[in-house]
Amino acid sequence: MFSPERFARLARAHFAEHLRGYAWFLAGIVLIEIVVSILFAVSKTGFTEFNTREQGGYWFAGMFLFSSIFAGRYFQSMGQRASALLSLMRPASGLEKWLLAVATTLLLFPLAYTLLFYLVAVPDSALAYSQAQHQAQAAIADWTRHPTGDRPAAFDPKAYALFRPWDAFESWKDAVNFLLWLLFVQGFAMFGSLYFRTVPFIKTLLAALIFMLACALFVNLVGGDDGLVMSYWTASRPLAPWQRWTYGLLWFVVPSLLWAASYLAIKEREITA
Amino acid sequence: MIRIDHLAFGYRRTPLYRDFSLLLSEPGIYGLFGRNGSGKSTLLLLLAGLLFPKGGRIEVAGHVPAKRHPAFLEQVYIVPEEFHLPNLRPAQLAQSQSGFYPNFSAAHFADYLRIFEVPEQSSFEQMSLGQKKKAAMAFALATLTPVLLLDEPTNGLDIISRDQFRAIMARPEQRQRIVLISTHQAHDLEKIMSHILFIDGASLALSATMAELGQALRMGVVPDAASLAQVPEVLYSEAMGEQHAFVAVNRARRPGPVHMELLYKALSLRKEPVLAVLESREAADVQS
Repeated sequence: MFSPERFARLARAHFAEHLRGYAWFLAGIVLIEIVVSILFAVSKTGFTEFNTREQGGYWFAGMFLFSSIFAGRYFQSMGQRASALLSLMRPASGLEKWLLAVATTLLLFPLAYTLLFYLVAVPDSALAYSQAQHQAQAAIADWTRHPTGDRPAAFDPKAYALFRPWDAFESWKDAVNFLLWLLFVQGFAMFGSLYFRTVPFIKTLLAALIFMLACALFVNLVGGDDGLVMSYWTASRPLAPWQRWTYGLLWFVVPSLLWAASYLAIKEREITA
Repeated sequence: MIRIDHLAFGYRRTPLYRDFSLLLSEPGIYGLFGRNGSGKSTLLLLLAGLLFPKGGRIEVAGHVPAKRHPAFLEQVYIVPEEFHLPNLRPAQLAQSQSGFYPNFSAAHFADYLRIFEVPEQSSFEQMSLGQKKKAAMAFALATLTPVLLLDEPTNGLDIISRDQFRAIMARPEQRQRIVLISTHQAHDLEKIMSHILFIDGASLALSATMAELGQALRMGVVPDAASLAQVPEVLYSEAMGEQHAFVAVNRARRPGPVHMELLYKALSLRKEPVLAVLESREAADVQS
């Protein structure tokens, strides 16, 4: 049950109500990035630590952390009776409400996050580039004057190039691994926020922990390798046929079930008097 | 139209409705009364599709509410006692939400905001609770959905605002829809209601028009106990200082005023005799 016109209306109403909240959330991310920049600026090594690999680490960590918080907050209104009633009574289908959540959390947020990441990463990486280059040149000049030990390494511009997410994936399996992890953490956060009526954030974290432990325990009990469960898509170790099928299925089924459960939670939600 | 057939509903192990049936086929303003915990708010939530019946069937505007089909949601608007408004200005609310309701009238919305004296340049966060409630009511009334469900609409409103609400409810555009109002503020709304529903003991104890009630029951106030003794067939009375208010059988059948608070007390405290009178009148009307 999907109508593009109704979906557009729903999106307009949603963003009219939540744009300010989203703007504050994104501003919080920028603030954290600025604090990290200041920490670089005041550290002994300056921005030289902010090489391409480090930038990637920040981007991936931020993406998982902030997108799971964002997904967990998307249906925050469902936690309160009065605002949940307003959302549920809005004339749109459950599918349309769910699709808007998917589009906002899985597409728009990562895009907005990446743009904001670059807002700070572009000047920081430029500083890192120039400081590292200057440091390398100074070290070589110093070594030339007092040649003791090995000659310092020359500046490597590639190591300080601006990070690009697609360069971080060595193969299509890396990209699939990243996407499935993102789907999993966002799906878990969103479903938790819908399923747990009170203190959803803490309960979702606890549930995620229990789920991960249960998975590890299960794999150990059946004589498998829990390391392979977590890094199935990037594992280069040979796998038994049952492991190949079970882990592969697990990686697709669990995120799919989490997102499907969120849809049902919207559709079946009741409000008590 | 609202049709409920053999509704069964309860919370966990506490049954609230058993074999509850109701038919509202004509537009009008229906007052839903009942004591605390009788299930008035629950009934509104069931009609809005926000609670799902355990048994029986509910149909509202040709739809099963529990499915929450968009075509159903376009035709039903509910204002709960505890309501929520996004932090927007009234004009922004209308701009972002009016498109969902095909009958929404921007002119009526502006008119209702003016009558309610809602500050239009303020966002809802900047308004007092009463002002927010009036803004929420103005929007709900301007949607002109065929079915409007209001839970305690006058709670939190001052005396002037209650008058303003009554004035809006009396307007012709509000008479074209089914407005179901659950309230304990019986006196506030008695002049605008066309029909009374009284829930008691998990079932619909009374469903009657104001005209039927006025013809079947005589209600009034007498100056002292001696005068009360002169009133024939008193069903319920209460002292108000020296004076006595009463509900009696209206043998003359001349339509008289209906005092909702008095009727509410009579139905709550002396239900059987009052209902017996109403049922006998109904039976007599059918025979004649």
